Amino acid sequence: METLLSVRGLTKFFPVRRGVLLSRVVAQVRAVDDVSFDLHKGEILGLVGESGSGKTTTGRLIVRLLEATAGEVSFEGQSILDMTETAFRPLRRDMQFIFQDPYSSLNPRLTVGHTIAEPLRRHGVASGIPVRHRVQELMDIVGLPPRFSNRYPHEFSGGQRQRIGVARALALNPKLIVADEPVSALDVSIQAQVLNLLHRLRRDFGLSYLFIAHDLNVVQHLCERIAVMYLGKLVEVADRDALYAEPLHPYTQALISAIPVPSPRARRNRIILKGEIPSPMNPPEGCYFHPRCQARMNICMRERPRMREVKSGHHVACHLH
Amino acid sequence: MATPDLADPLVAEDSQPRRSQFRLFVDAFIANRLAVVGLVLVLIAVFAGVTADWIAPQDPNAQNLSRRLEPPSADYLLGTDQYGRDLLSRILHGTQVSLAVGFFSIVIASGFGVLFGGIAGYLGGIIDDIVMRIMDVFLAFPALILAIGILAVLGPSVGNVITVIAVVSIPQIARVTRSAVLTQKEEEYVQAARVIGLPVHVRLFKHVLLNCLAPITVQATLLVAWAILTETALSFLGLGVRPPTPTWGTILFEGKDYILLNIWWMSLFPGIAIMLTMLGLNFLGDGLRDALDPKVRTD
Repeated sequence: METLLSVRGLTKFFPVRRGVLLSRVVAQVRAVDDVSFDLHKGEILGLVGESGSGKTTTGRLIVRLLEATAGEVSFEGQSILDMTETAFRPLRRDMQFIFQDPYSSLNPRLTVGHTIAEPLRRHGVASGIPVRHRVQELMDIVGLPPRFSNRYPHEFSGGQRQRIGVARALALNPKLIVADEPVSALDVSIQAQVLNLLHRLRRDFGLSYLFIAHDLNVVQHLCERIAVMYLGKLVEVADRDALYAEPLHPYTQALISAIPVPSPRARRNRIILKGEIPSPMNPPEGCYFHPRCQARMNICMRERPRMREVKSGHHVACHLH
Repeated sequence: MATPDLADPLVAEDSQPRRSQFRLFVDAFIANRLAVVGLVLVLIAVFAGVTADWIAPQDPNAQNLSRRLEPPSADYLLGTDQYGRDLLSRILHGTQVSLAVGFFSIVIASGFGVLFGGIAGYLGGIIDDIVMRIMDVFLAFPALILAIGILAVLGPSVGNVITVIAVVSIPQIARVTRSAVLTQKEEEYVQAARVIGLPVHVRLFKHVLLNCLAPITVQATLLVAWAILTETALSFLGLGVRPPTPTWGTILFEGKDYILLNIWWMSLFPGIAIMLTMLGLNFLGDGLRDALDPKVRTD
């Protein structure tokens, strides 16, 4: 399979500063710490993890909403992180982003038609009358009546707004869409609609997604491959079926055991994680997960496990494997 | 026969007349009685200023030395001053100068203030530090003292008064703009503007500042009141507009010598004009703030 996006050793540290006038860096928050993965053409890769695991930061680093501390991202073989913003701008056509919060991601003072048309005008894809046609077409594609194009965002519901966000991302015919928890702010009934829309668009337009989520049900519904993050590091990457059938990392096992089963009689072996996610300012020695791990060994406290391919296509970073 | 699709909320919603943001704003503004009073007072002042050349009964500078210091009468509705000039005509023409000073100085201040505050807030870092520390230096002086100092160097004239009031008002607008920009720039629509490849000046001026207009408008309205008052004070001190050009401040200035002689009309009537205009602008500013705040108005 052809690789669309390749991420190698991606790292983002946020400095913590003290002092007002001559501030100095007193600590680093390791939001994303040496993350590597590939995304193939036409696939949906799920990136899951709990709050603070660095999954959103990873997504933002890839589309350069944040500048990475270290590492490399290549898109269709082109290294993008050391490009200047101006040199990168044409490439933005190919990499779009869907935001988590549909209430904040649309400019409240612009009509939705204007919002959807903006990328078209900016990149000179269309101008004048063709822009209006394209906007109407895009609204139709995402399931909104095109006659609403001169309305303002506050006149739409959350699900409708998220569709507008999808239409904007779609306007430039991108190859990759990074979707940052696009349904987590929506009602469950609306979530399915938007997920189905994303699924249909992938089929119709040959898109690839990096789908960031914390909801394993959503990920299972949509993604073909899944990458699990914990405290800024990837712990396991595998095909969906392999991951759900046989999770290898103890953290993945705990996550999957926590998915509610819709049957009152189902017997489950729930793995309850002890404690809280440690502070990314001061992560534990050795394996980051060892303080909460039920399969902890001595080596886990000393040595950081490396990502290894233990089966075909199944990568895990754990001393057990 | 087509059945109405009741399940589609979009269709149901469309059957009602929809209300635009502007309409919501107007409704909220009209519902606030004080705001409407303020708007009416300001409009009266503007009307008086614009039409002063036609509605003033006499030439504001025509002296009639045989009828000096007359109390209000049928001939002179608000009385005459020490040179026998008609006070009503002078106050009406004074409206022109006072409003022009207030309006133009704040328009100029808003231009620079929005530019400085917007750039400082959006770019942050060292640029923010430098720009805002300069603004703080200006704010550290009492504005009136600073204005007096600059005018003492430049010399009194209408143009200089406008310049000076604009300069001392810039930091006020810059502060408000910066704080509004700081909150808006964290919104995801700004990030979205970046993802679609908009350069920094488009993001700042089109997206961020468009959403900062409400607090800036309110601040500018209140500053117009302050500017008119400052012009009055400067003219009263003899640093503002030179006689015989009438402004509210110069009329007050001339009237102060006669208060003890029981010639009250020379001070009272320009004072009332100032008070009503200040009241109007402050009510208007408060009303705008409430009407522009989406949390106060109900959709």
